Amino acid sequence: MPIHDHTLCGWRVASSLPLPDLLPWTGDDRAPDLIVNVGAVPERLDDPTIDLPLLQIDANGTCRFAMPGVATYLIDPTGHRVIVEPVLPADAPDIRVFLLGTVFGILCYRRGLLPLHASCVRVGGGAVALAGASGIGKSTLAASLLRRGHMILADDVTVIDTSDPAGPRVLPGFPRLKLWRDAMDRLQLSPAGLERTRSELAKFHVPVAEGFCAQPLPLTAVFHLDPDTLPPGGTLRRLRGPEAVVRVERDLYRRGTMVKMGLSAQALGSAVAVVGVPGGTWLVPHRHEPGGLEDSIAGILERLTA
Amino acid sequence: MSGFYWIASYPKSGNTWVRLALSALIHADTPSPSMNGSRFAPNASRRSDIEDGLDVETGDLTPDEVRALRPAAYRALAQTSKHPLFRKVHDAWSATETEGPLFPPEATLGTIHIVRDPRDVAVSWAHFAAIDVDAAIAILCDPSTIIRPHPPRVALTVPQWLSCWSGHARSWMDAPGRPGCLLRYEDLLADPATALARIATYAGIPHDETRIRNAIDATRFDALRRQEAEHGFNGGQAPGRAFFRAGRSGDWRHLLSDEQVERICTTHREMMQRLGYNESGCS
Repeated sequence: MPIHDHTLCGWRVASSLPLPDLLPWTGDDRAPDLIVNVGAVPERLDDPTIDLPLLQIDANGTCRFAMPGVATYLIDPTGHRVIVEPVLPADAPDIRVFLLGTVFGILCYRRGLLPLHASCVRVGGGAVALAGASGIGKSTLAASLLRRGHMILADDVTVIDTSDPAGPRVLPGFPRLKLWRDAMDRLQLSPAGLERTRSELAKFHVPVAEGFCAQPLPLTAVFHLDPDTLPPGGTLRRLRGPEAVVRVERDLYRRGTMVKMGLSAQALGSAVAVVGVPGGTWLVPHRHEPGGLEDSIAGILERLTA
Repeated sequence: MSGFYWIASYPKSGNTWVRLALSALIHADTPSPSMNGSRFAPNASRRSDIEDGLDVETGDLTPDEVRALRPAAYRALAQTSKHPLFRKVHDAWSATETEGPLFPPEATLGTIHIVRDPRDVAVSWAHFAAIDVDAAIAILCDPSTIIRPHPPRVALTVPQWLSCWSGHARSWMDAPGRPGCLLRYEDLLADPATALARIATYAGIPHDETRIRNAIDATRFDALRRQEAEHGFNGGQAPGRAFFRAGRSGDWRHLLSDEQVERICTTHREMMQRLGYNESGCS
């Protein structure tokens, strides 16, 4: 089986599954940091402590994640090995969607990294995370900022390394955005020739190419997009102390999975480190109504240059 | 292992008031959060809830997968929670095509089911959505109604399978498992203390007369309306519309034409009789 040599978060990834979303590895000849193999995944784990229809976790920390009709994934307790048993043909994008989604989140937690539910762009010399719930418009905001010349470090999952004494750093993901058709229309992007994330969804893999920042950067600020903040169209509000920590925890990627993995204390420690970033953490009253996107961008850039 | 209390109602039937009153009752000993700060009993169709249950991004799922996997999400949340979970529900009680009931009986502790005279629901919905009354009546009479957020609204919920007004009421009244705590909006208005005490008893929420009275006082209609005027309230209403409109029953008598009343009565006569809404107005 051919081995594809890729990079993700600075790791060297050896995969027998084609992963065209990821950049090729151009570093030294070190041993792979992550191995993805196509192979058989057991029907169920022995004696799982978490036993749910899609997710099982055993006492050793092995995770089994199954997406019916797509693929099953087995993740080793250290987050260095994934076995994928496809149901769809191995090159179906659907398989990568969940590999670079839930499975990626699990790998990060296992490696002591903090995955934020956020897209991430470069502003000045730093990385700025745009966090928020599914559907809030993280990718659309990132795409708009890219258009204004801000390079992309990550879409949907922003991986933060809080172990560096110099402060939290963002490890770059891979050069593509996932955008719904209606968001592409608003951005005047054509879906012609682009791959759908799932064959039945009007959501596309949009390559970022030269707009991708492949270098890790210090995290300078986090902006939490919030649709409920009142009054609508209000201004950004700086979060501090426990409120800031709670907000980061709420915007963790696959927070529920992390809790089931028993890693709440580890994640809390990382969240505390994140709220100490120099540009602070902010609540953005984000709206989808006409002008909402521009208001959010103006508010964010204003806070970053202040 | 715990389970859910579903606060189930057709839209515009008092669900928000019940949730605010229950929140005030449960948090009686702590400084009461403003109605906007209260996240008590969020919508069961909220994507973040379903994602926590399923460990997967709903935006990566097809609509059929979301519908098929929702029961598993609720079972998972019930299985991993130590406390009863309260959720607002506008979906009708129904069975998914392959995965059993949308709201699994084994994950259900009980159902607080609120109903309201469909003639007043039509008036309220027309105001809420900024549509004309005929359009609201058409929704109330359409068994295939599905609520989904329309752009430019932020889509934080998955589609809710509403059914028509009668179909909705029937689905929850006839749902298997523990019989629900059925309340009429009109009775909530007339005697909120008795209604709230009934709900609290049903759902095992500690309460006494004073706590009930305080919760009712904190969520009086004029207080809610004043808070909305001062701070705003996002209940999903159309831009520029107040969420807390009148808090009255019987507005339909002077806001609906005879023909509109007749259209509602013709479609929903049987369920209106079953719920005691036939005393006047329907020929």
